[in-house]
Amino acid sequence: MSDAKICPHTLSCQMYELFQLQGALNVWKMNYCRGDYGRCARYKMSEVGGSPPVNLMPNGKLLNRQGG
Amino acid sequence: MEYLNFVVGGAALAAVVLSHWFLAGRLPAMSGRYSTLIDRLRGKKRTDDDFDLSPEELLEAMKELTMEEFGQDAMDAMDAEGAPDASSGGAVAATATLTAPEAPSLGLIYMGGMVAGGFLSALMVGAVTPTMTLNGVRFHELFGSGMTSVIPLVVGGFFVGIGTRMAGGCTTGHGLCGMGALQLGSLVTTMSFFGVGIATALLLGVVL
Repeated sequence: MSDAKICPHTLSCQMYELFQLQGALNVWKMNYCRGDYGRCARYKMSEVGGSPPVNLMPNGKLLNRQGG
Repeated sequence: MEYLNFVVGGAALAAVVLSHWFLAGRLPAMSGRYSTLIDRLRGKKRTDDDFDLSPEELLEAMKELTMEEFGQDAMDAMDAEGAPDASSGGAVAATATLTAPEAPSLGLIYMGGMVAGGFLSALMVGAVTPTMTLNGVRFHELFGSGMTSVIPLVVGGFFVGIGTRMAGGCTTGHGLCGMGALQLGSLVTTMSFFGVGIATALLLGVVL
């Protein structure tokens, strides 16, 4: 399933929407959402029914005031 | 008690998963909801306590993490391809969500619905009778009835609680959703708890 082009959770993922804030952030989409999304921490958590924290980045780090 | 055909039951479960996905935007999970509920009772927020960012601070934080992960060259390459619409409804809504107070828990509604549904189902077949034997003949043979049968129930529940948190899911998350999504980790987990469950049942049958 991870070989497919686009992550099936893009429609509901809040982080995916945040990548719209600036062009540079598209690199996350290229590497995770439209790439090897199977390694995305949010995807992994969602696939087993978990609810990823809204500030969980695809690489597993948490977004906060200090930037990670 | 007369049960529905197992195919009907399976289809009903699939309908629950699909409807939950379309209505709530996520897959259903039972053990995860308990964790969320406990966090709320402890007053723990879903996000970091310092996560009170303005949209500008949010963008800077994301850029910092992006730099850390991919480097400046990758960021410059993406910027050169043109900026997406930062004022899009999705981006604005997502930003508002991250900086807004926590929404009421869907988990309580979910768990309440499960309890209510089970109770309603029992009412429909006239089977609302408190019991300590789980209505299972085998359980009664192994552990008797009354207060002594509470001990294996508590012990069993204790191990279920530990196991589901260690595995990051239970029969709903791994067995139903994870397996359906062809997740290897869910396959391993499901095989493990079913395998151990079967082995335990066989062992108890021999020992007791």
